[in-house]
Amino acid sequence: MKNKLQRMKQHMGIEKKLEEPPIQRPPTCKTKENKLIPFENDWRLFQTTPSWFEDQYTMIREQHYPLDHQHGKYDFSMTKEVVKRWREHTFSHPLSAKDREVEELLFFDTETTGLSSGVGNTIFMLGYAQFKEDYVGVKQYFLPGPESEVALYHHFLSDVGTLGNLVTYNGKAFDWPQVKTRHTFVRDQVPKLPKFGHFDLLHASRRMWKDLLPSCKLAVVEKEILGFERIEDTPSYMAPMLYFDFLQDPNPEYVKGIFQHHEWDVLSLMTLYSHLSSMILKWDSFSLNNKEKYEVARWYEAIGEKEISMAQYELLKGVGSSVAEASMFAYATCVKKEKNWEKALESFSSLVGTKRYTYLAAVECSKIHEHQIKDYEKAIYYSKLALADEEYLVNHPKVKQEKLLNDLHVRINRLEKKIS
Amino acid sequence: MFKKSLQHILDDFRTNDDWKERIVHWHEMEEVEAKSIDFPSSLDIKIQQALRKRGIGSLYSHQAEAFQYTRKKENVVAVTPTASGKTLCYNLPVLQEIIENEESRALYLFPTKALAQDQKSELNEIIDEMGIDLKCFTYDGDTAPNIRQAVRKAGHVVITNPDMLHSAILPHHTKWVAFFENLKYIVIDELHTYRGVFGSHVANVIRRLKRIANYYGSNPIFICTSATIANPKELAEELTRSPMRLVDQNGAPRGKKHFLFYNPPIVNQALNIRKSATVEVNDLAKRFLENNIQTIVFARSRVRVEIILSHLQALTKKHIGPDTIRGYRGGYLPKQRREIERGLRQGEIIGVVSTNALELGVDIGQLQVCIMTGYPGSVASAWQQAGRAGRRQNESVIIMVAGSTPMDQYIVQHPEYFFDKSPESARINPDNLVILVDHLKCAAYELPFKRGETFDGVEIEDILEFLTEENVLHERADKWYWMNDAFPAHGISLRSASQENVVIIDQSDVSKPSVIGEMDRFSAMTLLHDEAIYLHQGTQYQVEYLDWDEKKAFVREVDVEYFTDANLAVQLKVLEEDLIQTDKEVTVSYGDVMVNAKATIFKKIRLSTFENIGSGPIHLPEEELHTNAMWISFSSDITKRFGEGPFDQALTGLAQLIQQVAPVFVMCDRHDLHVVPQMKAEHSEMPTIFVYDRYPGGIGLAKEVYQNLPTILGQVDHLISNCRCEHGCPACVGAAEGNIKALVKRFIRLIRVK
Repeated sequence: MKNKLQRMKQHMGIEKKLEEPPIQRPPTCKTKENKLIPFENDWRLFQTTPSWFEDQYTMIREQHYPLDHQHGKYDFSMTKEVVKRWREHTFSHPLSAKDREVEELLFFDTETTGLSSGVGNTIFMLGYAQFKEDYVGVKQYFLPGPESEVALYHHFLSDVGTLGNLVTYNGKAFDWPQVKTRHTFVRDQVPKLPKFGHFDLLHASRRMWKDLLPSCKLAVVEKEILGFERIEDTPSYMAPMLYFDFLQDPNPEYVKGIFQHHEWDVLSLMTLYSHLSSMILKWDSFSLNNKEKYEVARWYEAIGEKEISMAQYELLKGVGSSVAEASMFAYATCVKKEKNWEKALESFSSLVGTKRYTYLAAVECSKIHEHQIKDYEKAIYYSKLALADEEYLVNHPKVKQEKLLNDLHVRINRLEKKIS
Repeated sequence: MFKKSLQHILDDFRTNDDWKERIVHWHEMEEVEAKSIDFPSSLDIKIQQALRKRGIGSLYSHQAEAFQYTRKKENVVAVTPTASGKTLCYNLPVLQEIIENEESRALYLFPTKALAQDQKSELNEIIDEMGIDLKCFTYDGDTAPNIRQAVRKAGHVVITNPDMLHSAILPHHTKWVAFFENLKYIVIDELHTYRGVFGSHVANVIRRLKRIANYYGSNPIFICTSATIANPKELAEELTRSPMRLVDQNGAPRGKKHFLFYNPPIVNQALNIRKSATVEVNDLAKRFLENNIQTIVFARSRVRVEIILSHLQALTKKHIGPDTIRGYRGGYLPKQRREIERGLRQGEIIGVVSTNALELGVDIGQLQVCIMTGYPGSVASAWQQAGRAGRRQNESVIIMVAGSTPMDQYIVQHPEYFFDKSPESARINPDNLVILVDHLKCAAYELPFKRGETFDGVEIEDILEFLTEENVLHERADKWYWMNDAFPAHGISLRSASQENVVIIDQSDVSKPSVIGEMDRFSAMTLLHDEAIYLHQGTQYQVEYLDWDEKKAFVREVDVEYFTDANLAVQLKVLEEDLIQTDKEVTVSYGDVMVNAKATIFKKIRLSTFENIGSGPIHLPEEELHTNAMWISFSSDITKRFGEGPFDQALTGLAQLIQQVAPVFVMCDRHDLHVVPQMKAEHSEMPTIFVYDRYPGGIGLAKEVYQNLPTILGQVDHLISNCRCEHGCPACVGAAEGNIKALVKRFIRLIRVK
């Protein structure tokens, strides 16, 4: 059998491995009574101690940071301040912590044995940063072996309780569903999963910086936006390999780098949340560039906060830069929806002649002249201006182009009939 | 000109002398009356009413039987020919169960997505008639992400395919907790398609399914339906590892059928060469199509489908327009297939040329005529294809046009062999080591293995330990855990031997290259090499570049008068000899071999005359395969007695015959089993004929040949004795100088006398 298995190996998708050091078997039998934990002293020196549940344990590492600890651009008291500001803010927002105490925010992240989202992908570390009275606590729960999941989830869920709001980076699509998946296996032995609120900062970062940054990975955002640079970070893709090594030889040295990486992740989430909140809350006083300001306005518009988004567009609108023109167009569209034809016409017509908006704005002007002002000559004039914006038209696929052209011709014909 | 009816054409066949000579056998199957039974009293009244509204006032006997057994919690396998109302065999118990307990769930497995769609519409129609809140969904690659959650949570009946179960449902079972906790029925339709490599994979997927169902505390009942094969009960039991109750007394009615055996006329008496079956099929099909009689033509290979298709489209263009005749085979994109199926049902398409892809129960409605280009390779397959004609109770015609292969000629001249023979058995080998290990990885990913746990009865500790040594699993506290960053199901395809397919990209329009199909790696070596002519929907494409590393073939539309045919050179090494039967001069063995295959050259062959008009080299890397084989070795004495030259010819001739007969005997595709003659085998330096499984690790085909060699040689002998040629012909042992036929006959007698 063994021979056959060796021979068939290449058909089984198992890669040939390099020579490896002999495997040290960990002591397999551990009970609470004799508390035999491999490398317990090394763990202790790394601020990590076992927490038992029945005959299993999970390793928990706790770190405290003072509120004036600087992580990137800000210290942690900034987070406290933005939560206070959210409370005074009148508009709704997906990142709003209006109804939350700062202590309820869990800046949460996981480390897993793979990137896929299937049931066999184990979370071997999870943890969070959280505000306490006068310090910030980072608590990391580490799985010493796959048999200990009950202990891990028991302690994690007992600690976080039922009130809370997660702040994550892609946690809506990945981390939390994966927690749900693994929780299912131990659901009869541990507390229920709480129904937490959730701020996913990846979503927010994409809104703000998709066009500005080469990618929206947390490390990039940290470096470019938050002014935090990691030194000798263990990259995420190494984590599974290191954890597998640890399972073969339970020396904490293998995984210390992952603890550090994970800690940086959750701390950066705090700084990032402070930064994003400030961008929204202190729109005019915080040092935002115009593109960021425009994206904030767009976000408000997307969630239906028209009043503030329109006000912001109004402040940004102009002619000459792409952001100013985009704001002008968005503003014009808003006032048009309010049936403020005069303002709409004024705004749209200011865009006629620009490189980017001539076609769209001219069509709008034409519509307003035709249907509201009933000035058909002017309406034709604008339609013809739209027709002349070849640059806009050629940038569309052929079928679309023909449709746009056809629409204009139909409009012009109709207008001409109305005149005669 | 007036259109002729089917009757007119049949009269022609009966009276015209030319036809009479070529139609060597005319088999009439009379109408069969239905065997009906009243609705069982335990069947819910809502179901009875819904059936009545649909014009069904009673059940066929087999439907009632299946219902009664499942009520007693027995697993059932029902043998159901085409159009016998098989769906009620499983829909009745499932509907009844859900009416009694609305928490109950059922899983339907169909081999393809198309069948799943058909089934959903049919089931939903009954549900609508019943007026109850019963949700039936398909769950496959086409299911929109936003309704997937609803399917998982609320679907009473979830219809899917084995691939989806393997790669999307089982590896995410925690999202299906409520479904698995309440799983009462597992329906496996088209059971007979789960054979060979595919069946062996699916058997393992079902082991995993049972394991997960048990984990959530359920123990579902299996209901299987199958076309006619020799061993439905055995296959169902092997596939599900559960005892089965067989229901094989069919109670459905059948219309009158004419089954005609057609042998093309001889054009060269000495060489016994007949007119090409393809040409004859074109003629016959045209006759029906011109008269607007819906006809299906089956051909055995993709290339053959395309050749016939282009001929028919050209022949009938004037009369009915080319779009009314379509091709249908693997390699077309799903959207194209759906369009063709719909066209057939609605009668817009009157002719279809297909590979065995349409043997399955894809609903294409009622066709009147079925023409087979050559014997499909098995009795079961032939009856499946024949079932395509006259699905609903009217008169229909089936014509089998014999090809030049010995098997075809044998069948066409011995109709009793076909009509009296029971169909073949379907074989699977779920314990093929490669397949088993693949699925154990998936199973460990889904749920850790406990020490002492078996894989639905299979001892697996050795393999778990092996996987632990390979750092795929990790053993802790008497459990084996998945400890690898991969998602194992993604690397494992249930359908094809090689795991990566070659994508075919048409770049005729430089600005818009488009994907037109795909092909498995082994076939691609001989069909998609540089300069190969690839046929797709009757259009010729030339392969401009095959990017082997990226698995992409770039093709461009061309219009040429030839097709290409490639050679595959094969090397064989014996690794282990597990079984051996020695005789004085002949030794038969079975064991493990390593095969190295390399595409070498290709020939260009003129479409109209089939003459060779050129050739070229193929530069592709060698493919390696570890597998099972059986081999026959001959002592040097025999060689001496024959003389080297004649012996070589005899060996090649015999190999060719075994290649013809063995796949038929073990019921597999011709390409699943390879036969290679070697004058000097590497391991023994003796003349040897190898017969090996084309799938890594083997799926038991070679072993079956080993165990039944005397029978197979008996068939071979029979075949060659019945061939009408004098000295050997392309139809049997191949044509060459000298009397090879006599040589091979002498040779076979020598082996058989033992």
